[in-house]
Formats: sequence, C-alpha cells, structure tokens
Amino acid sequence: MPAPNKGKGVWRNKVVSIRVSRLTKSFRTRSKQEGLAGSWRALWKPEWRQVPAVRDISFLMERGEALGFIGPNGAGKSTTIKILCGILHPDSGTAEVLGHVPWQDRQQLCYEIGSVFGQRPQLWYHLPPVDSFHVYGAIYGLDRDATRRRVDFLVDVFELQHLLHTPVRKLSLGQRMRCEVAVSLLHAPKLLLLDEPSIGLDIVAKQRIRDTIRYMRDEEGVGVLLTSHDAGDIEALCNRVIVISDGQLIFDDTMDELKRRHLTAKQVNVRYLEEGERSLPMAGVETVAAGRYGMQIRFDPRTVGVDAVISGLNGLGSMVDITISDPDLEDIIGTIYAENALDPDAA
Amino acid sequence: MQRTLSTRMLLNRYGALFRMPLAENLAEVGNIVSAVLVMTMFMWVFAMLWQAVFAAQGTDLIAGLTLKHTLWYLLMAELVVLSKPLLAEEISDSIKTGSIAYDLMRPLDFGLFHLSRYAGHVAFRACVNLLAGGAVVWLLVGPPPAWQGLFPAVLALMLAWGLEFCFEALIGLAAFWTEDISAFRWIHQKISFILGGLLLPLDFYPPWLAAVARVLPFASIIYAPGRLFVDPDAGRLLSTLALQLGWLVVLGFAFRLLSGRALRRLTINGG
Repeated sequence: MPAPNKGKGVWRNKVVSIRVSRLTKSFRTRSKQEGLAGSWRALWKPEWRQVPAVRDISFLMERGEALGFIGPNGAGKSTTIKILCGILHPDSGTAEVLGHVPWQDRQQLCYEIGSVFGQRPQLWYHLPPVDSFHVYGAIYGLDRDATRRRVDFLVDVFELQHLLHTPVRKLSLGQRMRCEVAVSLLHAPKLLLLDEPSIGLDIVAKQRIRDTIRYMRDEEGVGVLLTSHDAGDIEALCNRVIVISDGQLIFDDTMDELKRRHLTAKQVNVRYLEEGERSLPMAGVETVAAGRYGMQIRFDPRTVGVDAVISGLNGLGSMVDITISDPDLEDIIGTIYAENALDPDAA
Repeated sequence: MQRTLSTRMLLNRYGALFRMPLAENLAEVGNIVSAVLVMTMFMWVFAMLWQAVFAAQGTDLIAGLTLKHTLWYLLMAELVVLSKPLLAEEISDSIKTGSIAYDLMRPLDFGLFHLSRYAGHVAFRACVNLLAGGAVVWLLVGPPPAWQGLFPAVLALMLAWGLEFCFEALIGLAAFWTEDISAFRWIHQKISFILGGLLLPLDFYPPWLAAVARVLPFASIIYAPGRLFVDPDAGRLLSTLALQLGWLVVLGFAFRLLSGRALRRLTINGG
C-alpha cells in the first residue's frame, strides 16, 4: 500500500485544512479472566491492558475538499474524529485542523467546524427546529439579524419552510436529519464533520441529504469529512477516500483511483427466452449463479474481451435481457479489507 | 467568525439556553398538569397530617410554630425539591453513552451550560408549583404569615437551587469513576430529607440535632428559605445568606475541581 500523501508535491500549493502526522492513540482497559474466580481476582488485582485504537496515521486534507473516511466498526474512525475535534488527546503524533492544534485550542476550533453525528441529535426534541436555530445562533455569538438571515438562507437551500415550526419529535427521520445538517452549518463553518449522516434513512431522503451537502460544499467551499457505512454516501459526496482498518490507514487516494485499482471485475446478468441448463466454459469467466432461465457471471475485462463474453452468452440461446455492471463500492471496500487482513504489514 | 465574545453576547448565549427549558415545559401541557397534581396532592396530605398533629397536641404552637407557619414552611421546602430537574441522571447518562464528548464540541462552558438549563427548568416548575401548592395551603390555613418574607425567601431559594445544582452535578460526575450513581443519589436524597427538614421543620428536632443540622448545607437548601419565609427578620436573613454563600463557595469549588478532573480524564482516556 502506498505511503499517505505526505511529501507529495501536489500538496505544496494547496491550502491544507487538516494535517495529521503519525497520530497514535491507545486506551487503557481492564481485562478479566473468565468466570466468577476471574471476577474475584480482578477485584483484588486488576489487570490493565493497552488497546491501540489509532496506529501511526498520517494524512492531509485540502481546504474545501470532500474526504470519505471509511472503515469497519472499531477501526479507529471515531477516535480519529474525536482527536481532530479536540475531544481526545493523542498519545503521540501531531495534528492541525484549520491552523489549530485541536486539543490545545478546542474552544476556538468549535467556531470553525460544524458537526453532525447520526447518533447524537442536536435539535431540541420537543421544540420546533426554528427554536434550536436561534439558540445555536446565540451560542455561536451571532446577533439576531445575522441568525435570521442565515436561517432564511439555509431554509431555502434545505427546503425546510414547512418543517420549521413543527416540533422535532413530529418530523420524520429524513426531515430531522435535513434540519440537523442545516443547523450544523448555521455558523458558516469551514469544515463539516459528518458521522453516519444517512443512517436509517430511505433512499429518497438519503439522496436529498447528499444533494444539499454537495450544494453547500460547492456554494460555500465548506470542506466535508464524512464517515459512513453507506458506500453510496461516499461515492456521491467525496472525491477522495481514506480507508482505515484496525487503527491503520490502508488506503488514501482519489475515488477514481480506488475504482481503477479495485474495479477489476464486471458482472453480467442475463436472461433467456427458453428454459435450459447453461454454462459458459471460457477462461477467465466465473459463473456466480445459474438458474433455469438465466445466469450471473463475473469476468476480468483485462483478460477477457467484453465482445467475446457477449457472443459466448449469445450462443447459449435467445437472450431477452442483459445487464453489465461494476461491483458496488461496498464490495470493493470489502476486498481492500480482505487484502489487508492477508497482509498485516501492508500499511 | 467572532472569537472573543462580549458580556452581552455571553448573556445572550446562556440566556437562550435558559429559555429553552421554559419553552419546552410550556410545549408540554402534560408536564404542567402532572406538576400541579403532585404538588396539590402533597400539600393536601401534609395539611391533613399536621392538622391532626396539632389537634392531638391540643395546642396552637409547637416549637414556636403555628399550623399556618408549618404548612407554609413545608410548601417552600417541597418547592425546592419538586422544582428541580434530574440533573445527576442527565449528566451520568451522557457520560455512560459517551455523548458528553459531543457537548464539548460547542463553544460552551460545561458548568454554565448545565446551570443555565437547570435554572430555566427550575424557574418554570417553581412558578407552577408555587401557584398550585400555594392555592391549597391558602385555602386551608389562609394567607402566608408574613408577606415581607417573600423577597428574602426568593433570594434564599435562588441560592438554595445553586447549592442543589452543585450536589446534583457532583453526583452526576461520579459516573466517570463508578458505573452506577444510584447509591450517591439515594444517600444524598435521604440525608436531605432528614437533615434538610423536608418532612418536618428542624425546629421540631431535639435541640442538639437541630443545631448540627442547621449549619449543614442540606438545611441551607431545604430548611432555610421556608423558615425565612414564615418568620423573616434581618438577623435571620443575614445569617441564612452568609451560610448559603459559604457553602456555595465550598460546593462550587468542589464542582469546578471534579468537573476539571473528569473532563481531563475524558480527553486522555476517552471516559
């Protein structure tokens, strides 16, 4: 796996919003042997062990960039984000966010970053969003007029006109999330941290959230650092991706590069008019599934030509439908994790 | 973006946080109805109980207090206890779920953030409770014995809630070190009930116990405002406020110390 972007000439002329170098953090947790005897021993002679959460991570984020931060549960995403917000102190390494050392300058940094944590709502539950907007205006030191102007703008962009005066508890999850993202942008932050913003949303609501975030990114140049389990979020919003697994950075490059390097297979679904047992015995073609009227195959277009595969499939009967697609980003990320698990020193 | 805020902006900020629980309580009619029901019921039961006690004693005066004094005192004592939110549970829950970390991402002081919300909640509940409980007591024993006790009592009530805020916050912050805070909550509640004078005025206690209890912070919270309300005089006002302020300095310092340690622990070990 290539080293992170540090030292690459391309960064010299860019304005950096996040600079992280060799960041390491571990937590001290209590360990206990199994059973009652183990609990008894732990009571008198507690055993502690250091659990590494983030290991030697380095990366850069350009101002106004949209960066996807992905990894399985427990990979170290949240710990990294908390360090970048100044909530956690690292054990070693350096970090700079918008020119501040986060853990030394948290209060100042608060004014320049906005955040949405899917599992931590920031709107007052029993009150309409407009009340929360005004409280956050006061918290961030905006005067009444400035708050009103900003709210009007955000209401317009996020289409919140009919939601603004309804108590938050009566809003749907998608409507609430739109309000959450809007309120996080109230103080015009330069950087927006989004942690699972689309969790639990249906496809229409997800699409709407993505569209508005993309609009704000383009309109105000706000940088977006997005962590999500939903590969669709990353694909729709980010031009660069960092993959982190087991506390280590295992991929850091553009979305296009991720696809180019890992989109090595095409998937074909085909359906025939007549019933029958079929197979395509071609080198480099793998049959994923076969049914009475159709089949699904996968092949690597670098070794087998697409036309050869199509004409092979055509020879098996009268086709009524055929689709050729790339694997999902989720599959690609799964492949990266798997590669990394096979080669722990890859990072 | 503005970095150093003027006093006006700070007042604006914490004033907005103060107003939110007011608005929240107003939005929930059920909250108001249940507060009125609880207060009415409590004061009715107390009135029946103490009418029986005074009748059984065959006297108008017990330890220098009439039935009217006792009931208006108990109203004030209940007002302190029934108007406060469960801050300790709120803080301990935010520690257990880890959401306290996200609160730190706002440009807010941890203590003032909770204090302003606490004050907003107390202000609303206290008004409702005073109206409901006051109406019951007034109906049964007539108006308060001394109207001039109202202003000193309000002053003492504000300091009492300040002290109670410190206790609640300290109990809540204990969740950083122990999983379960219910033991602390239980001990604090029972000591407050007994040594604070919630069930009966400290004047009814044996003199040595009353003397000890009066100087403890629990009496400054529950006993002091009510006693000042029914029997106001300059000497009592001064000694009450001096004692309350003294305890406020001690408990406020303890809160700052513990919250500082807790937040350092959070930033170093993630809670």
